[in-house]
Amino acid sequence: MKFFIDDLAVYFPYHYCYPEQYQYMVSLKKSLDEGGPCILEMPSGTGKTVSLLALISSYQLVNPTVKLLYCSRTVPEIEQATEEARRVLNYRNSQLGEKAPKTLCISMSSRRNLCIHPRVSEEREGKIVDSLCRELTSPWNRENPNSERCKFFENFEDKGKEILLEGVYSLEDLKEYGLKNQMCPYFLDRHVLNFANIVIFSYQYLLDPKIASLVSSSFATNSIVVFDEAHNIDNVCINALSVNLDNKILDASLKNVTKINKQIEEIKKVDEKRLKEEYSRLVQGLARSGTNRTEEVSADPVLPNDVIQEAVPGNIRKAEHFMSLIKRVIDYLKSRLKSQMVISESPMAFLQGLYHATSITSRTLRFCSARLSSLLRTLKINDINAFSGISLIADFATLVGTYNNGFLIIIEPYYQRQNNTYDQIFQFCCLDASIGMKPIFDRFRSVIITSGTLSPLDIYTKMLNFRPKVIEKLSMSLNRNCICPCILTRGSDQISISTKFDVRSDTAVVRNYGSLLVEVSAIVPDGIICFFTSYSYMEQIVSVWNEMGLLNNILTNKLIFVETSDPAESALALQNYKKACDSGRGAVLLSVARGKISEGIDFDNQYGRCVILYGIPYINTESKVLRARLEFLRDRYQIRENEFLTFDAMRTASQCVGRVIRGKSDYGIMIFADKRYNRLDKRNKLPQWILQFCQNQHLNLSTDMAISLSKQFLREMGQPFTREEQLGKSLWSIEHIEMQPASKPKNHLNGKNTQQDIQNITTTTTTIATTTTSATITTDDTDTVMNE
Amino acid sequence: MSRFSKEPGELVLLRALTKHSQQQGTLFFTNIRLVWVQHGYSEPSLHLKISEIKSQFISTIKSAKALLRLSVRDSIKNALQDFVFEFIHPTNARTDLNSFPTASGQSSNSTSPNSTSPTGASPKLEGKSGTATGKDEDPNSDKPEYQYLSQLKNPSISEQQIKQRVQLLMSNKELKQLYEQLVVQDKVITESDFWESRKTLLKTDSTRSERQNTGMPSNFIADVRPSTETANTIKYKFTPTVIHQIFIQHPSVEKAYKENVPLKISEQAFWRKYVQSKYFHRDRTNAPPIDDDLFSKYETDEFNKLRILKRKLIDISPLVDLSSSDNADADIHSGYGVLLDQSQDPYRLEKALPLLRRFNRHSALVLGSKDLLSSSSSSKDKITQAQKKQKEMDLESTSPPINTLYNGDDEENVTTEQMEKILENHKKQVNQHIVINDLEQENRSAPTPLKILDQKRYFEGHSSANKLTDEEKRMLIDDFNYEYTRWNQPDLGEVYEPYNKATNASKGNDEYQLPESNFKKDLFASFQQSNELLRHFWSTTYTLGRGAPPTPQQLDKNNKMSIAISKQYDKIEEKKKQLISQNKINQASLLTPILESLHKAIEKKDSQIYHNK
Repeated sequence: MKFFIDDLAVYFPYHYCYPEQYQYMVSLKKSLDEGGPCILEMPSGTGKTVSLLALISSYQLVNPTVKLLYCSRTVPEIEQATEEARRVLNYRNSQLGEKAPKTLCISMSSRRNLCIHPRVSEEREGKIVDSLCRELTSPWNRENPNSERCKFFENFEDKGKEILLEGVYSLEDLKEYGLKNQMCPYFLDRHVLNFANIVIFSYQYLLDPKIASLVSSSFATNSIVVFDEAHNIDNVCINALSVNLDNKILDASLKNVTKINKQIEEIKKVDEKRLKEEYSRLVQGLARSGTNRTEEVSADPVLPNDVIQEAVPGNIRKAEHFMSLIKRVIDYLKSRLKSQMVISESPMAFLQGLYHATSITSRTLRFCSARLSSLLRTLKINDINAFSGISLIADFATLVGTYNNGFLIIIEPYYQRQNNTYDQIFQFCCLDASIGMKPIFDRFRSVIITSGTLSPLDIYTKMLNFRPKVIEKLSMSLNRNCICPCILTRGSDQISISTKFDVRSDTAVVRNYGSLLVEVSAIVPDGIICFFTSYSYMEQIVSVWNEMGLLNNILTNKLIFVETSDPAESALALQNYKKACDSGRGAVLLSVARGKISEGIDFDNQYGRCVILYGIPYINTESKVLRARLEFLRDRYQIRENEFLTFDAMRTASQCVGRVIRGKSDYGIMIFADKRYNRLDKRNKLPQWILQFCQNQHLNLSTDMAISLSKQFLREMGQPFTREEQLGKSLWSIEHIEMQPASKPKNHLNGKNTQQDIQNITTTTTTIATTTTSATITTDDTDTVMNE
Repeated sequence: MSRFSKEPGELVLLRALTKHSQQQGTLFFTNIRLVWVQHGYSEPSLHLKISEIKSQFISTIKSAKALLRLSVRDSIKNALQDFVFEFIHPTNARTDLNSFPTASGQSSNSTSPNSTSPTGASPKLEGKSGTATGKDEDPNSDKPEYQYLSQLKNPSISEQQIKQRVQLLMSNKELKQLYEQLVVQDKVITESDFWESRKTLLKTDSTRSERQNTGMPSNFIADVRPSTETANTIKYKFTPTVIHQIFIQHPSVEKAYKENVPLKISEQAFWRKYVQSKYFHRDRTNAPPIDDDLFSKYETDEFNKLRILKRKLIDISPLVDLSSSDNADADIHSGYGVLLDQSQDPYRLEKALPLLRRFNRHSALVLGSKDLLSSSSSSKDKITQAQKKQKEMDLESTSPPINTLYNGDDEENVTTEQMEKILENHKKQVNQHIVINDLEQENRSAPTPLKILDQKRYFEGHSSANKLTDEEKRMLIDDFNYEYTRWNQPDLGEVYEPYNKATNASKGNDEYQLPESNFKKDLFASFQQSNELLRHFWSTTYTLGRGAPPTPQQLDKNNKMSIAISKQYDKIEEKKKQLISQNKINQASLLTPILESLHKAIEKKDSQIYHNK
């Protein structure tokens, strides 16, 4: 349907719309008009993405130069968003007919997901794919007539630059196109990115400097940036600017150094000219000059504004000098890692120590990563993956030389799985999420942060250090209670259950948790998902359940699938889980609250009828990094530690639990199995759209009470649910929309009641009379109309 | 050996010393029949037609005596009779014993082609619970089946059909009652006649039962736990189902079993070793592995198969592909990013990983879908299978070919066409997923257009006198319109009144409500029986001028039926008189219709007899 929001024609690809979607679009438009950052929270499963895309694509009709940069977290989410964009654009263009502008919507991902070269694309790891690709496509490789080439890349180089694509291209579409035209999808994608109207990619492409500078630096400032599922955006920002090193990496980089030195020696004998050319280039200008972006595999690890814009200093211009400098840095790091103490110091202090030991200044360090990349190019080294150790060290050096405030260095013992011991690890941590976000807020006109679980909002505004112009928190409008939250505080034997550290190993608690799952698996149809607080906890509890024989009891009701550390295996398990739910056998999925499954996999309808959260997913508070971060937040932003920890735990919990609802005829039971959930301070941090279902009968339940509540709920939900019941209240048709103040169908005269208006009213009356069959529309406006 | 007078053409094929009902004698097997001659007698005491042998049982190898039991159907009495022969030859008893059923099975004609020799061997797991293991191959599987078919009056019925019949009878009580009464007790209707008219029942039942196989149960049957634990011993129970499942889960155990049992080690010893081995405990997290060379030899590359994990999954639904995300492979030790929480490290799972993997594997197995660890051998088969599936898939375009798990490990690379198809499929899946159905408009499917074949029937009246002018038509329509808009729903209370009264009336001793009682059961039973008899009667009755003249069998049947009907009539008449004498007039009157129909039949019969005279 098509309707207006304050003069903007919006093309919405469905016949009906939820009231929340409408509200969302109104707020979104307001924010776009005003510019600046904005936060929107809308319940999960109510069609946020389609509303977003519909509004912005309609906005683009009016402002054709504006680009939309849509960021999501995982590749499945990207694919879904692209398909939604396809629907929206198809609808819009079909409505416009010939006036439809040529639009290009394209999604972007790494080489791993786009490569179609038969040998290279088989590899599973992204780094390996990158380095194999580089082997085939690097300039010196192509100069050599004997070397193997990638015919797809060659085709692209010949003809690709003239191609102007149009329409919507998902990753699959790009691969298909590449197969048909024998052209490399990845390079084509990067090329076309600059001409696209809508770009869909993952967060890293905007927030991680190593990649962002390569890909996103040419986007105009009036672009609209949308971060979808942005509740974890602070972690993304932090991880983008942090580095961790351990002895293994240091050893690997030392080996790299020897290797490079050898290569330098060899080249000196064979082709000294290359080294000399590099030297003169460095004397004159920047380290990264003379390359084009497509050759680079990664850029400087610091934010664009912080990249040092000076010529490379003399003491590292020569390759051998540079190598020796790196070696000294590595040696110093090794010496620091020898101590068995836990140390935390600021980068400044570290640099001082480094200077005392090696006389290397921070300014020199800042050039390291650029210098290394230039060297690798000069030496014509293809296998980047083999030199990942030294690249990491160079990146670290650049980072530590550039940043001081908001960063911390922590040396602490860490469990090494290979030899089952504790080894020291060196962490360069970013504590301040706003550092990474700042360039985005500064550069782009509109930044929209949206998710289903952004409560409480003020913590976000503080952490990311921005002031949003528009804030909107939407709750779910409903006709029937489609969520049944159960705050479970004790087992059937009235023993209170919790995953608090001191009680979690208690046999009674474990047994209660187990029998909860057994009973739930007996009454809930189709799929059940269980989230544990951590991998170690899951391991512990599943072993004990196995000994007790509880798992076999569950197996008599449903099959069991488990998320493991390997993504491919977990993906297969997920696929089989879905198959089991479809076939009627039903299944239980055991996974971890911060794992890969809880981000981005939807469990709608039969795939998720019940979610059980075992405990509160707190981060392990013993972690030094966490402590440092908490301290930082307290000092800088006055966010109390407990508050932050609870906030973080509850947002993870909400995110896990929100996976099961998609659409209003979907329904689900959400069981929060921990006595601490009953406390108001925890419960309050759940998003509004969950809390609105939480009545007194849902609180402080024991297992048997929860089971009977669930049974009743399931029976209710099994009743037929017609559209007519929802109309007006939780579902709107075009008529309802046009009654909203922002969307009143405008006439071309001055807005007074003219003949036209009266006719409009009567036509809408008759349409209402014929389309709605029940008389239960409750809004006041229609009452007067119906009683004709 | 005693001789006996043979029939012309009879040849003795086998003979054996046997005992029957405590008497010594010889059992002869000829090409026509089975004969037992008692010692000292010249004439056979027993002779059985081979066709009549319904089933035979041999005693087990281990039992002391060598017995052969034959169940024979006596065609006169129509009952099964058992004959037991004990083979007593000092040395050859067993071989004789074995040869008899073989021979008889081979030449037995097919009253029941599958009914011979379930050898009844008890399972080799001595002392352990004995459900029959996989039977030995039936040696009689390739008999000349239909050799004597022409001699038979009754068509053959297969074992399956027998099973069906039995099942039907068990599920349907009324049917069973009827069957018992008419076929078994009174012998009025033969079995085949009974089932003849119920062909449809059998057919629906068979199609229903064939279509769906119950799937494998989800739970771990193979997880054998000790049944009793005393101070020194632990007992484990292995049933064949459990063993089967163990074999499925651990193919190396199966291999070891096949090669070692029973040649090298006995079955018991094998299972003892199994229980002790690391395999058994492997799935539990904390038991010490004992060095066992028995199984390690056969340890297939189960762990090598894990290398498949290193390759990329191609054919996985894009909605669940976790491995594609850009941070998916970020080994925590790769260096970038901050290590916040050690307990979140998935490698913490290491110890419990086998246990967890086992669940994934088991569940995948039960579902019948491919799992990472099962996608090895014969990639060629898979590819062709996949291609076949792709073709099927083209016709029905929804679910992905889950059973063909492509990964880069296959020797044959995925071709471009296959790749394109896979991509196409992925797109469809994502599309299906994203559509929010709530918001879609309901599909008002186009109403099927009216197809009027013969317009005349509807639009043209028989007489043209009734044609109305346009004016009249319009007036008529207006009239109707007027009437309809003013039509008030009349008060239907009056109409409903008596009904309401009737239903609200006491339900106790109402005559119209027949409460459960013996009388009711009796009534229904007699009603059904009478109907059955009548049905058979009427189907075989011949009226002059209609249809083909009856065959002798039909006449025969007809006569039988009429006799039975008369008997039934008398019976019911008796009952009725009894009821009347007890003053239960209404109940008696319920029997009247039955009597009437029976009477009709009797009349018909009498008239026929009269005619024929």
